[in-house]
This record gives sequence, C-alpha cells and structure tokens, in this order.
Amino acid sequence: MTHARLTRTLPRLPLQVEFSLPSGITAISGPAGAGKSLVLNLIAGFDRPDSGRILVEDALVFDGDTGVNLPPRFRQVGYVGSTDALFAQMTVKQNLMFAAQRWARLERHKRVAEMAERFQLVVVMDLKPAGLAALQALDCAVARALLAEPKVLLLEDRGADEALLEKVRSAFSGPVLVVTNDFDLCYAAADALILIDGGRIVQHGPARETIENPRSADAARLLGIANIFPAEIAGLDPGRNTSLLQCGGFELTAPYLPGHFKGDRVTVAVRAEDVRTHSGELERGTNYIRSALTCTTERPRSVRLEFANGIRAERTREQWVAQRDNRSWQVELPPQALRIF
Amino acid sequence: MPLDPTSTCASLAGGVAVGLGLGYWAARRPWFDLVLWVWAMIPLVVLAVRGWPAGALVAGGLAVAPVVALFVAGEFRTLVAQWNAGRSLCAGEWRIFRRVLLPGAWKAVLQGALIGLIRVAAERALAAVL
Repeated sequence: MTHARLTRTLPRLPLQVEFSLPSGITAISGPAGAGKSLVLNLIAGFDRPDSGRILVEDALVFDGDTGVNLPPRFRQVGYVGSTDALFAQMTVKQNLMFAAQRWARLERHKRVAEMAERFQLVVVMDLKPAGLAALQALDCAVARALLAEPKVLLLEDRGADEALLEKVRSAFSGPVLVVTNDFDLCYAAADALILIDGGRIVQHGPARETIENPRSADAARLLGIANIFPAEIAGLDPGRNTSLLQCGGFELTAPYLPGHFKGDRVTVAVRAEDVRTHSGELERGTNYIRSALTCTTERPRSVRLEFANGIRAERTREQWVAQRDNRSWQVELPPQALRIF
Repeated sequence: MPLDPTSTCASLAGGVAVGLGLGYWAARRPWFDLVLWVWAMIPLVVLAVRGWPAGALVAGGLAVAPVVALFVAGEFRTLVAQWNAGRSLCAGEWRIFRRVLLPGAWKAVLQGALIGLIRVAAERALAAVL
C-alpha cells in the first residue's frame, strides 16, 4: 500500500491532500499551479512536507510527527521529471547502466538489454540524449527509472502516450502516478484519476467513473465540461420524476432531485458533445431552447458552436455541414445529459 | 614578487578543490552566493604577501576558491534535474557528483580556475607594486 497524507504551504499554494495509490496507473490532473508537481516532489523526497505521512509500499519514508524523512535515494521512488534529465554526457546505454549499478556485471547487462528491448531503445543505445527524439528520450528516462527497481513510479507531464503507459504497465506492476491533463489518455490507460485544484483534491476515483460522473461543479470544470450554469430549483415533481430548473434566461426539465427543496441553488453541467442542435423551425421538445448562434470554432474533427445564452455545443463536421445553413436555431439539452450538483 | 609556477599551481589546485566542494554545497543554498562574493572581494594574496609572505600559497588557494565556487554553483543549479534523477536512481551523492555533476560542469570549473589564476597573478603583481 502506498499512501500519502501531505501538507505543504507555499506562498500561493496551501497544499493539503491525502490519497492512496493502488497498483496500476493513477493519473493526477489539474490546472497549472494546482500542486501536481509539488505532490510528486514531496513523494520523491525532493521537497519536505510541513506535516503528514508518506508510506511507500508500507515502508514509512516520511512522518512529520516523528521526524522521519528518508532522503530520495533510500525511498525507492522512481521519478521522471518534467524536463529532460538524461545525463547528457553519457550514451543511452550508459544512462541505463547508471541505474542498474547495484547489480553484478552480467546481471546488469542482461537487465539493461531487456529493458532496452522492451522500450525499443536497442537502435539508439550508442546515441547521446541530444540525438534522441522527445518520445525516445522519455522512453529512455522511464526505462532508466524502472531499472533502479522502484516501488513507486512518478511520471511528470512529459507528453506520455498510451503506448508508453502500456509499456510501463507491462514492465512494472507497482503503483504509477502520472501527471497529465489528457483525459482521453486517462480514460484509455489509467485505472484511477485524481482531480486536484488549489492544493486540494476535488475528486478521486476510478478514472472512467470520475470522467463520466463528476461529483461537483469544480470537478466538472476541471474535466473541461463546457456548459456550467448556476440554477434555481423552480419546481419538484416526484410523481413524474422531474424537476424544473431556472437557469438565467431559460428553463430546464431535469430528473427529480431528491433531498432538494424548491428555491435551492444548484449548478447544472452539460458536456458540449451532449448538446444537440436543431433548426429553429422544428417543433419544440423537452429542453429545446431557442437561441442565436454567435460564433463557431473549428476543431480537428469537430466544430464548437457558441450560442447567445452561453450554451456551447460540439458537432461533428458532417453534422455541422448538414446544419450550417439553418436560419434559426434551437439547442436541446437532453435531461439525461444534465449533471446537477 | 615574481610568480612562482610551483606555488601558483599548488594554490590553484587547492583553490579548485575547495571551490568545487563549496560550489557543490552552495548549489542548494543560493544565499551562500553573497558570502562567496564578499569572500572573493577580499584581496587575500595582497594582504598575505605584505603581512605573511609564507602564507601566500594558502592565500592563493583561498583567493581562487570562491571564484571557482561561484562558477560551479551556478552550473550545478542548471543540472538540478539530472541531480534529482540521480538521487531517485538510488545513487549516492559522491557518485552523482563524480559521474553526473562534474562532467556536466567541467567548463565552469575551467572558467573559474582561469579567472582565479588571473586574479592571483593580478594580486601578486599589485603586491609587488605596493
């Protein structure tokens, strides 16, 4: 079990987090200055928490109460930083050998060869880091970190992709904490996701569940949900299992909200991809809102539409081409797509 | 007083060794730069030659040390990512210093030694004029 309870107060960042890292890949995500890198530095031992406790696979490496604070070399925590930290004067092979120093010569060569094979570094073994592409340098840094046989691997945001995380998963069975803001990557490759903002954990849980079901407006904002509106409950009908929400200039029908009263303030979040758009001439349905299209933004595979009342919708290029000549618009916020906090 | 090559080399070697150690220590303590700057401003060789000629050798080393330390500390600070990487790879500080920091900072060592040598020569010349 790897567990961290950390408190560290910096001038603009009061960090206070507690989480466990099970085996597998845990992603940590948040805006710049949220404290992601600080968390990694504290676990690795490059910075000292003000208080708290860090267990690395049940071994105590930091305890604020008793003053235990193992230096980084005794923590067995692999760390791949945000900048290229390969030793520039050594070749890739020498970099890997450096990490495998504790093994006898034959064993060392065997382990380095295996790791080079696994991370497809065989052809670049005699190159210096300056001659490597960015992804190769990252592969090399990860391979080097794993050669030291860490109990936990910490990966800073260096543009790790799914292929790299799969290689890590195949080479290392312990906990991996990776910093990334790529939720597609989290969804595809991470087992758990920690959302952090302002030094606090906003949500922590299985990656897919966290991405699909944010539990607060802050989590929704961190997950990049484009439509977040403050609303007031204008009506509750448990018989029909519906509630009526007044969101500024429009009303929404949502599923019944148990535990709430009429007049309560809530927040409604809807993903831009879940918002449907229709021609203004169509008959109105549930949560159809007449609105004027104010601007469009091209994306690689989609088009983002922004409407006058602040609603954003994301349509595929084909859908956009079919609707672009609409003279008037209605946006539809399907009740099942509404997330209410 | 003419420059004696043997004593100058000995001063330089001693100063570089002390400067490397100081630079390594100061690299993680930026406040210590101020101490090094103040130390570097004191004309140790001039004072030694005039007051205690036999101490000129030691004074030469002590005059070179802060100059080397300032160069080396600055360079080591640029290698902090490699330094941390080495520490997380379970390497000892001496091994990191020898295998990672020193090879990465040899230009700074040379620059510091050269400027230190010029400084010792200039101070000896100044002492001779005075």
